Amino acid sequence: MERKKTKEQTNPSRRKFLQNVGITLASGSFVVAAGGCQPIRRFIADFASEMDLPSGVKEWHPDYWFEINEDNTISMFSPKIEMGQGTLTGFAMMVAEELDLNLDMVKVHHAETSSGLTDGFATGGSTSTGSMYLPLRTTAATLAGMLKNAAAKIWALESTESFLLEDAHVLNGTDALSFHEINLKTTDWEVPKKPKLKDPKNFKVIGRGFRRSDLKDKVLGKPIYAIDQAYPNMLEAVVLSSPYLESSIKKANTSKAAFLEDVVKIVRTETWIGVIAKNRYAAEMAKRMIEVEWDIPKKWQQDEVLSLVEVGKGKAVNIQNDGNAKKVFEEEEIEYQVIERSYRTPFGSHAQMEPNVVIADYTEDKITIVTGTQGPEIIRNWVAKEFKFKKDKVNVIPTFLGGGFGNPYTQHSEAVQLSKAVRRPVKVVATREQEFQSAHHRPCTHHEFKVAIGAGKKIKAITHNQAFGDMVLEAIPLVKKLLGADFVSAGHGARILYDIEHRNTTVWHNKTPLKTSIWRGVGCFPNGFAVETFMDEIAVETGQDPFEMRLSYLRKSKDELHQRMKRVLETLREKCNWENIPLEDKVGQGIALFEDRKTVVAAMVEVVAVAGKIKVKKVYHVSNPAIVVNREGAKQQVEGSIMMGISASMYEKITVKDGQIEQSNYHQYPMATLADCPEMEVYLLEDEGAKRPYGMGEPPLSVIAPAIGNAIFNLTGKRQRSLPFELEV
Amino acid sequence: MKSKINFTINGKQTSVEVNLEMPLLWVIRDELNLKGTKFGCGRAMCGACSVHVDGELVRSCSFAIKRAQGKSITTIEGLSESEENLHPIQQAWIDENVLQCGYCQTGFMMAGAKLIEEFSDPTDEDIKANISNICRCGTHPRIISAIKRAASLKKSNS
Repeated sequence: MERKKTKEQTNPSRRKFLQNVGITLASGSFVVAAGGCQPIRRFIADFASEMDLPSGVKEWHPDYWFEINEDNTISMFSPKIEMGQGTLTGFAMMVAEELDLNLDMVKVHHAETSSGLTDGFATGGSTSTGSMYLPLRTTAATLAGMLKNAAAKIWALESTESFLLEDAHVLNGTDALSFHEINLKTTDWEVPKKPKLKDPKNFKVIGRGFRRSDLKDKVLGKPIYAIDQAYPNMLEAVVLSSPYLESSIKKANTSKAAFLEDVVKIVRTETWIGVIAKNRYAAEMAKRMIEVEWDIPKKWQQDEVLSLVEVGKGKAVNIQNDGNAKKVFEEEEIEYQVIERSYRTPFGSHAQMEPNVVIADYTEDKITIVTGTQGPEIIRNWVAKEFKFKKDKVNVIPTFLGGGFGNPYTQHSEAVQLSKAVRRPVKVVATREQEFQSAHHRPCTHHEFKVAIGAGKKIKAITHNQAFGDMVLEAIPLVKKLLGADFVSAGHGARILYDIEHRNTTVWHNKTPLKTSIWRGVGCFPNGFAVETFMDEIAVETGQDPFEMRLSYLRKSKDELHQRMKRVLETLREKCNWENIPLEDKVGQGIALFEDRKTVVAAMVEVVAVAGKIKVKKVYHVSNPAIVVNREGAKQQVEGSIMMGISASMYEKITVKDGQIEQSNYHQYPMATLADCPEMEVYLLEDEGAKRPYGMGEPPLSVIAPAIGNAIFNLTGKRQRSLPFELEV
Repeated sequence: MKSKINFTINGKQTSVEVNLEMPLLWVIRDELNLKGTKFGCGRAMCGACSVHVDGELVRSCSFAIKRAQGKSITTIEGLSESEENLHPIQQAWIDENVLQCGYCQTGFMMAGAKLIEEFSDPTDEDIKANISNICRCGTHPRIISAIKRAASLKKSNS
């Protein structure tokens, strides 16, 4: 798909336009600042602690963003990728709102990297809707103003004041012009100086619940994923990569494989062997016939790997120091009740349903890549560097993703090398075994807490030491260089948010032989589990109601976040009717409250024992992302988080044995299925006067594991301090 | 060694010349260019590749094409009469706004379509006990609602 460059794209007045629309190009300054260290360091620190993440998009001109089609529909090119989270539907809603269009009149497509519209920071961190909320609406409102100005010229009218937009037409009271007619008749566009955004009071689209814009295509099984794409002359390939950690090829015999029918070529490198064939079946069969001996420098065992991730090992970064917790614990005059606990979470797999697929077409002067990825521009840059092409000679065309969850695993390098070897487009489809054994995983964590409880059962001081395997660092080396610690991930949720006088949090990170990276809920999944289980333990040890105890560290604070946390928790207490829950031996209840990227969430979970096994019976869930754009979309994200939380806390675990990840496919990595689906009550809160929404993709997940664990304790009296939980009763 | 296999797909007679051991999944996807049936695990565990063979639910990644000789296969593309007149399961999927990434969903719809043939009024327990497909996005509660809705749509249609 190639789009014509318009005059406007090279027009110097564009800079003025950008100033006019009041969009400060945070990401633009990011690019400028990349040469020096300080601004980017600050940028990433902001990203970590505040999550006011700039969208990463560099161009905000409506001409880039939108196309007016003959049928008056508007095409929008999205820098963010749809991986199921509903982002494209949310974007269509924002555009429809400002242009007074029916939602089905806005068609959102993924932008290719060559369009200049993609985003340097990838789709993730639950930031798409929030970071695009004002810029996208402003850009759409600018287009609305441009259409009105152009209509005024056509009608030879001075003022656009009384003009209305309706059903893709500009109306002036007597006449109407369709968007398409205006587009045909206009060559000289006048950009409004101050595009007028709609007052939220007059919203007709934003804040309601709409079905997904990709719903029908997906229901019909349309070919929208990378695995479905085909090109003339294309060959299929499978890559044999080592199932062992940190290993390479010692010896390989590919002669049997090479003679198999339909096999075109076998490409061997130091670490992998690629089989190119006329069809996927032949490639897969040939791969199975390769005899290979791996060079395995060390056969890692599970205990050795876990021992690397322990508080006290690796680099330490202090990320919270309020008051003087150390002094409180050293105090000899006052006797505090001291409680110490430690927790662990395991390595976990993304296990998204679509295995990684990369189609590469290498020619003399350009490389084209079609793939499902959360970071098309990152892949574009990696490929340009590795194959020594200028960035504008590499085009990455993103497709719909069959699930993301942060998985950065991609075989772009392999695909380009294979295409280069045969000078034809080559499609590489990963096997599920590669996804389990060669891809990145969620790092394991270790947490140590200590609390000093004084008079009136009041917590005087609390400390949290957390150890991680490297995470974001592995995927984005730049971040590692700049920060030297796992700041980005640890910034989310390791800090103690309750209003306690003395708080201290330190993050330790160490390298593990497993490739680890972002997984849905970056830091909030393990930290939510650890912090909120510890809070429950304190409540039980001191004989306090879990709601009341938490509220006592929120009520007196004037801090906005504390007030929002209090509101969410009180709403949960009311919705689950906490005070009137009958005391039954057969049902266990547990709660958790957390904040991630400014979205506050809380859950109450009920568990029961069925045939000797724990089951989640019901989940009450309250979220406050400040503004809800699409109620349906937000609700889907909560439901998805509940199921993923059940799955990750009750079943999932990646382990190492004899230098290999033990789990090679779903039969060794059990996950939640329909049988695990509980009743759900999902509530969404908003903040009056909020300027922008916060994320809903990950924060709702943070409370599921601790609420289940606390409920299990309530039912069985057995405290759950590591994941996955013990389910036998 | 390649051989010719004859079968019916979505009501149309067809034949392919392929290795007899080739899984039905890859015949459907790459020889017949019907992309709605998905590859997920390659071991008949996730259900993303589910199709109907002579009315039976089959995981096509582990079903050699030789076993399809003379049989009638239905994929997601052949489930509805047309894009306007949808099969109850697909209509229910739209009504309930079930899916997220969507990748596993054609497999779930094929399983659901079979289930409502067997259970005219399925309970949550019937659905939970009879469909073991995997979904990572967590669309489970909506899948259960949609299958129940599809069953009642089917009844009111007939």
